[in-house]
Amino acid sequence: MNQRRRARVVLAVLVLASLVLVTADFRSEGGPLDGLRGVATSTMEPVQRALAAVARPVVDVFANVGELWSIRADNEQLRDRVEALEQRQLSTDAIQRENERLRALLDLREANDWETVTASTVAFTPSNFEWTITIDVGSDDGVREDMPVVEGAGLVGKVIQVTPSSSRVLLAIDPNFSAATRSASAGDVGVVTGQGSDLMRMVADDRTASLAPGDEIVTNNYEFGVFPHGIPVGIVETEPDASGQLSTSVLVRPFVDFNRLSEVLVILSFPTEAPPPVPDLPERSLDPPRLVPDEAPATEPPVEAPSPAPSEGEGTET
Amino acid sequence: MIGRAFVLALLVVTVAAAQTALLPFVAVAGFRPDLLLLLTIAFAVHDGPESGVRIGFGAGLATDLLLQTSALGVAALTYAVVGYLVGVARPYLATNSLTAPLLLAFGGSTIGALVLGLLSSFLGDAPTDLPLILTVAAFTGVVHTLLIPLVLRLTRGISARFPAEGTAVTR
Repeated sequence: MNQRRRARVVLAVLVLASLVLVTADFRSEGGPLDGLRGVATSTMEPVQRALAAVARPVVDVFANVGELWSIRADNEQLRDRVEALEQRQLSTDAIQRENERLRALLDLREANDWETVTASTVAFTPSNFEWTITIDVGSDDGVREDMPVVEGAGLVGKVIQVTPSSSRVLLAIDPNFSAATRSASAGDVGVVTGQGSDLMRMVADDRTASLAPGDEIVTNNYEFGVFPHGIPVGIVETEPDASGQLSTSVLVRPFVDFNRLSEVLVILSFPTEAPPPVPDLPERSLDPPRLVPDEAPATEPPVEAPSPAPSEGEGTET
Repeated sequence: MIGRAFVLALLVVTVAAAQTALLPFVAVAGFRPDLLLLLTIAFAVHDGPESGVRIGFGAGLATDLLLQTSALGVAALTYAVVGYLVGVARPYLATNSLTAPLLLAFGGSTIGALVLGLLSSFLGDAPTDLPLILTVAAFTGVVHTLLIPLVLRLTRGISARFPAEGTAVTR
């Protein structure tokens, strides 16, 4: 059999195998193929963790070397001194950045009555068409599917796969992600969805919603919702597009830098509470009903974070 | 053959780990090169269509297992077909020319990223915007064209030590 012919046979066999895999994956929701992905995540996690530990200082070095070049260009006479300070500069900058990240997480945890576990990002998705990360905590740490994940700047995403020692998190910018949100100032409610590398999109339930550039968008917690109230999501970047008959939409720039995720918090449980009262609500007949403090208890006992809605799409949150 | 298969499997796992752990830190505008697709193309350019198909399938399967929202087997199918096409196209270009690997890397990477994006969009949980898919395809094509000489050096080294069966090695 010549080489070209043999290649064709191998191609046919492997294309067939691929199609069998695709079909089996579609038909076995939560079946053995999902388990295979869990095994892959667990197996790769130690290698990824080691590589990530190596990568971060290297990235810091490159950043600081860039600064060093500009200093040299500006002042040749200080070359020797700059080189002598380089190593000290590298280490203090790295420590300062880590300190800032951890302080933001600590502030976030202290400001909210959440039960959380801290995690480090060990890997990102290999594809340009999916936005997920792998973190170094899993079911052994109390993590379960659908738990919210945050960092100091705001909402990161939610857990979609859990193994004993690691978990995968669907980032808020993934097209499969959606979350109930509201405008922090006017209280207009809606749903924010990811759009990959583009800005996120918030579709407001009310066509006359008064969203405007600069408005802060935060999560909104409905009964059985996945996310607690008030996690910062992003800031409105565009004027509302009211071309839809029943809704209006705006683009939202996320607060979180998804290319530089490091330490994150997984929210294990949070108290359900009424949303804070909205100041100076404009009178609108189509406004959705809102809870006011007198009508709902201010705080109830904590509930476990995940409230999976098995009948809906993976990223859909109600 | 067993030695080559073992080395290639180890290579695919190592590259997959590097792709997920290291490359996010060097992303350009949020996009990253796809090292596993690049590896497939490099072996197809060097060793021919059969190696391209085999390594493409393995590299694609590794990608599929590290994804969560797209169907398992989509990347395996795409990379195997790209490996075959690049390997088949190779003899039609001057094998010793400097530009042939660049053209094959650009064409193979652009088509691979485009097909993977479209299939992931159709078979995944949520559709991906066509402009985003086209942007990723163009980015992947350009970046892989720049990176292919480096990766070809690696594949030459491996194929010299562990030659593929019945392969006319091009140097």
